[in-house]
Amino acid sequence: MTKTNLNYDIDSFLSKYYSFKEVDSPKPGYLALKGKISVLDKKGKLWGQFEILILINKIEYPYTIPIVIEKTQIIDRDWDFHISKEGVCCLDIPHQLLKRKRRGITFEEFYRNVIYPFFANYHYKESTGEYANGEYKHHFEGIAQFYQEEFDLENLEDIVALLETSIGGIKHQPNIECPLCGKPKYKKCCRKKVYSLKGYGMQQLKIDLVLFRQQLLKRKKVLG
Amino acid sequence: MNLFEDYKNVIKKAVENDPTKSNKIYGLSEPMLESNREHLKLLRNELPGRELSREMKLFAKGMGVKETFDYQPLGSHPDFTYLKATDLVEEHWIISGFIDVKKSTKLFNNFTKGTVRLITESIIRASIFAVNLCGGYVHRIQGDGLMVYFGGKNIEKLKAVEDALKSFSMISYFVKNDLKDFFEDNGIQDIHTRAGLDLGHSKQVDWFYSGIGESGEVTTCSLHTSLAPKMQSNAKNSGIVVGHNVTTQLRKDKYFEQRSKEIHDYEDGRKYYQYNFDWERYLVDNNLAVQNDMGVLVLTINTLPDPNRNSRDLYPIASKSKPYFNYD
Repeated sequence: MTKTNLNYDIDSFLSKYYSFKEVDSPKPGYLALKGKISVLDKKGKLWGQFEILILINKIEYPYTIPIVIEKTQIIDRDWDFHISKEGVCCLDIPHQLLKRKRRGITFEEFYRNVIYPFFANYHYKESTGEYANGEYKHHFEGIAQFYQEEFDLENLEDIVALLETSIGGIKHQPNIECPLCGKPKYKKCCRKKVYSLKGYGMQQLKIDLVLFRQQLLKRKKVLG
Repeated sequence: MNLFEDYKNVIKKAVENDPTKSNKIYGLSEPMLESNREHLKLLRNELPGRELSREMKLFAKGMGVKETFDYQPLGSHPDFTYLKATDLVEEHWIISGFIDVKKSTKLFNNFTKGTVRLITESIIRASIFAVNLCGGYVHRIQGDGLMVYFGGKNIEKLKAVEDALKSFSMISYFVKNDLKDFFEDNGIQDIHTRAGLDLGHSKQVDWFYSGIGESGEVTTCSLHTSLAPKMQSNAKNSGIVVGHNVTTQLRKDKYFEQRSKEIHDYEDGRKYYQYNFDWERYLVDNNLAVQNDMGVLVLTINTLPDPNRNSRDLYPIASKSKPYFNYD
């Protein structure tokens, strides 16, 4: 993705979403948008409104993830609602956000597909008792859940092996038995996962590797 | 809240039951046409009349208007009826507006004239409702268009300007958001409104009786009444063009984009300019509409959750999100 002009993208957004405006940023180096999200369903029924502040890193854009702060305090500052005490919304698991960041975002697309659905999902949970597409568990449990759902891996040793292969750039012959999980052909098994992992960036993978190794160590200690 | 739902439903039913499409090869027989006429007759009764629908009442209440308002008779502005059949002239400011539906003649290619009549009447009735809701006065109906006045003797000029802009915005919304896609799905491309609005100050407007005996009407003579239909013809698809006098009342530049060519040259060095009006932004800013995830407007008069909402309809949007928490 080529570097796009932040001002152009924001002007385009503001010319379409009338309840937002640019305001003085409380965070140096960031562009701030303040506005109102009206959550409407597919039949145009109104569910509620939120005042929000969006902060976008001017230097990094489009390779950045906007910070979204809920200002109305409609959402309880409780971790069950994936929001910090200050109202910062935890929009998605870091891995998915990093993938977007590495590809580069266009702000309007990010608003439609990440920010708006986060607030729609709050109402969905309020109405039905659960999030529409489930939720990630908190802290490490959520990371483990992500690996399980995204890569179909539950075994900690398998996850560590996968991460070590991806981080170390280890190359295996495509037709050999998979050295990571033991299935017949590596190319039809974990190779795709190794490549896919790279999309989240080396930094995150190294963090994950440390976390999973710590968990393995803990388990070994417990088992004696 | 779908303010114009009842009008839209009638149009939808009329189109869906129109026999033209299914009988294109052999043509329409008289029994078919008769059956269509009977259907349309019944359907016409479903159009809101003096009695407003629940949603229309809610909207009227939200705008501070009586839930049962009297539709004014056409032809004579109530504040100037005393001029009827007299030689008197009164100077008084007024906002003149013209709005009509463009490309509507294409409807005749696809539907019976009965269906076209009901579509036109639905749009006209919805427009008359929107004008009356905003305190306006329909002076004349011209096919699928209206000539409208806003203002009078007991209203502030600024309020009348705001009312005129709201009213024409709502009509534009109805055709653009509720009808356009539906018509396109049924093979009618590019149906849209065009509107023009201008304000004439008191020294610029004469009210008088034009005509002979009963064959006449109380009307205005003003450059600005004459410019309004010219502005209408200059408007973009679904656009509203307003005169400079309107913009100076509102004093909010963000809604007005000056067009490069003036609408009138006084030939003494002065020129009178016309402006594209950003009616969608105006509706949102005035809490008459909200926007969905795609930025599409939905008319609303309050921000309370809709009592008829269903989580099934929220799922497609909400399921794009899967939140995580990692704060301490």
